[in-house]
Amino acid sequence: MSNGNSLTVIDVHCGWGRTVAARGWEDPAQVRAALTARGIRTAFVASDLARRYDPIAGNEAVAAAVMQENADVDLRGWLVVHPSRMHDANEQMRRYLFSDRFVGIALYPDPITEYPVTSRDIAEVIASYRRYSKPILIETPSAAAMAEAAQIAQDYIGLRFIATGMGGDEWREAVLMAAKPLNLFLDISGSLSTEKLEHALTVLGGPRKLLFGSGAPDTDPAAVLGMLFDVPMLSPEDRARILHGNAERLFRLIDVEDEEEAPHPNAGGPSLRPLNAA
Amino acid sequence: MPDILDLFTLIGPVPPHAPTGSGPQELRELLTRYGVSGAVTISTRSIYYDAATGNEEARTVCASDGGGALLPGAVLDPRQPRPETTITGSRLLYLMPTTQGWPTAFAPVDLLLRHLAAANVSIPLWWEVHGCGDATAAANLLRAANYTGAVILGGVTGSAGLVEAITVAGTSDRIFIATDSLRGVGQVELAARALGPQRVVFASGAPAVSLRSALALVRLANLGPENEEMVFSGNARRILGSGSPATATAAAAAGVA
Repeated sequence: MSNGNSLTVIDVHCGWGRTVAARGWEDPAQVRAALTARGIRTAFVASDLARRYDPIAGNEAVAAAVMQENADVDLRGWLVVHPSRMHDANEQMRRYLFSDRFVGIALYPDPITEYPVTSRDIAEVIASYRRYSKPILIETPSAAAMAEAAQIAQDYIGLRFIATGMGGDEWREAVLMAAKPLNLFLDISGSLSTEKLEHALTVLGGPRKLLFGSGAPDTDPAAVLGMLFDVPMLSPEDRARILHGNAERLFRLIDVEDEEEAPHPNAGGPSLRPLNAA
Repeated sequence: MPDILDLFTLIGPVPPHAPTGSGPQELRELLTRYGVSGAVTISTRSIYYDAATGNEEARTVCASDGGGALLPGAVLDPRQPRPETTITGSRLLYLMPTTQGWPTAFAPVDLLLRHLAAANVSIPLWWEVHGCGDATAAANLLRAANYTGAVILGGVTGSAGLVEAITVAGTSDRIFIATDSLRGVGQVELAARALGPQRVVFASGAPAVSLRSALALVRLANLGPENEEMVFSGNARRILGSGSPATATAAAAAGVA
């Protein structure tokens, strides 16, 4: 499903790495073509290799893909960090995070045990990361993982966190847990239930904390777009906020003075170049 | 507008939540909104509570559907005695081990399949194959029981699940893959390319899962108009047409009258 050229869509979380069905999902040209076909002009990608096996090589591969800017589809990277490999993580943070081609760091459950990211695990990560003033992505495939993410957000109130996966099939409980921390945002990936978004909009009091994220290629962005457009209670304005507006504010892709709402807790940091600049 | 037939839809609530927006009227409206001309539907009551009364509910709802868009499916619950007695009038039978929490390799399933085969029941069978190994186990059981009806592998999830489902479906032209859980980039296309578009059937899981999402995934699969129509309806109509609705006679012949 393509939304044509009438909408701006920022996909805040895609994978980077081939799958059985998406063999070209590590070729920037092929990824851009696939995203263009789905009406997505900006996507933030995280290395599957880094996440599951080799963070150094995986992050380097993403860096090579995103460092070259492209007018058609703006690919930017998440730097995957493993708390158990802080030496490597510090080195890569210094190398990449001062560039606007990387939007922040991404943390995932343990690739073997699937144990979720916890506040205790990432204390050292946060100590090294604070200086970069960028958001942190945490994968939350379950309600338990979301509970941990909510705790993290409350423990580090000055930072911005994005929970990706929305609790998976446990989205009801996960959304309830995510409601309280003001600095915890959710992308809408995970379950494709339309009821999920209705529930989230009700519990969260509107779309302010919601971002468009697909988790591609494991989930086709077209499927997530379909789910979003299936929600009858969303006004076009609120849908646009989810599709791109909230991400533009959160990632400072627009100038701070363009913001209509009250500044975020971290407002006042350096603004990145506007999304649509040539 | 291509003809679209959805082989997996639901009526009724998913407990413990209230049944808002999940009745037959809402389902019909949803199908009409997206141009889906027909759907096989099962009652969530049959999945989560009692297959016999739930299957009866599905039959009643479909019988009262004046437009004929809804076709009754029946859930076979092998945890209950004589599940084959609950299928009268059904066009598609569903085995849902993951959702109901029983293992695919399950002696009552083996017995059930043998009963159905012995009674010459050849109604198409939907088998939920969510986890690795499920499709393989299902195929082994069907082969051992000599079940002659078409088999649809539903709930296929992830790369490993898809590879397994394609491998299993490759062993027999009576085995099909449903699109309901093929949500990854390129997965519908891969299934169609590996097996041929004639072996892939459209299903959504609506309204629990976004129907719009499910339709989008097939439309993005680079199938071409003819093959897309095959996936959307041609294959399903062929499958449903090949097995006549379950009859009371067949159930009696299975020794469970």
